[in-house]
Amino acid sequence: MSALGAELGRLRRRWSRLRPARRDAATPGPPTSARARTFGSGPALVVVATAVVGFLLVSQLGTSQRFRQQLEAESEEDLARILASLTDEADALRDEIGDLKLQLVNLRNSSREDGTAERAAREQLKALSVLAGTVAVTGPGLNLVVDDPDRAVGYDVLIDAVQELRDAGAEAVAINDLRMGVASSLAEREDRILLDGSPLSPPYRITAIGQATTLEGGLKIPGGVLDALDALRGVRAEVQRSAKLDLPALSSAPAFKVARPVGSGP
Amino acid sequence: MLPLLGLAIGAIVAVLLQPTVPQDLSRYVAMAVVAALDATLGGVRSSMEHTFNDRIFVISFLSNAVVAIALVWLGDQLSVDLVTAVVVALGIRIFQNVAAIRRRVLGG
Repeated sequence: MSALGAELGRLRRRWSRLRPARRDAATPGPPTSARARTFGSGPALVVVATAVVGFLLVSQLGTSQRFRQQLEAESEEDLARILASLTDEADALRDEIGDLKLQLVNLRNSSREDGTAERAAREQLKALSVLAGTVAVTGPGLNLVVDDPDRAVGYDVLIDAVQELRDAGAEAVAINDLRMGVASSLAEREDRILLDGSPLSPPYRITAIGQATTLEGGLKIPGGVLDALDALRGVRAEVQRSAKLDLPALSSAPAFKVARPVGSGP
Repeated sequence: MLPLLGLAIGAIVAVLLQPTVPQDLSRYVAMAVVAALDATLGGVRSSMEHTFNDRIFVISFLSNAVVAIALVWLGDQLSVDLVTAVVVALGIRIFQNVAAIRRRVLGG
């Protein structure tokens, strides 16, 4: 550490000794060669530096000369061949650059399109899942509770009610917490109403998600579903709006045995 | 005389060893040689003007070579032909130095 400091001090002193010499050189006057020249390790450095240059210069000259001799040793046809092959190689490489750039652009475009298509497909899947009833849904809507102690309500009346709700914009419908999908059916066997094969028992609670006012308006049309229900013996129908209803998913997704989609849809 | 002595020593060593400069480094070495040549001529000029200073000589010598190599390397990285810039700049300086030496020697 102290050796380094001493060396630094020595250099600084030398530097300050050198500076006046340079200033003298800048101003016209008698040459101050005696002060400008400093001796020490300087000359050795100069010799080493120039020796390095000489070494590099000669080795560079030697290398390029050897290369040139190599080329001169070749016959004219060989040289022409070498040149042609080098030109071909350069052309091929340039073509490859063009191809790769084109490929890059194509890949960028297609990845962007893929992203858009994927988003659209996701949206469509969501909408179709709600429609098909394969996912549970939640939202505002209304309950239509039909009390039927005498079992006067037939499956056709429930179909009418569901149809009326769908007309009024119901997006999802369930009866007694059984979701109705696109392929759901109502039937009647031995005085029992079946939804997709599961028996329903009164009171029937039809739940619809949609705009509650529109749905209610649809049900209350004069001569509509509510009037028809009230006309039946012992039946009492009641509409309740709700801000938040939860409908379950279908217990089993609809399966298609015969129908095949046409083309390659998403 | 010292620079000439150094050059001679380096040249003799190179002739004896017959080193081969790798093709990739050849351009850099060439640039360094041109830069060093400029520094050497500058040294000759300053010694004729009696302002030669070995310290300044060695520093300018090294920094010239390093800057020239760095510029060429940068040019290669940026695909810009900075070799031309280095050659032009150093070439002008070499001509100026030679002209100054010539005026000193021939007095005109």
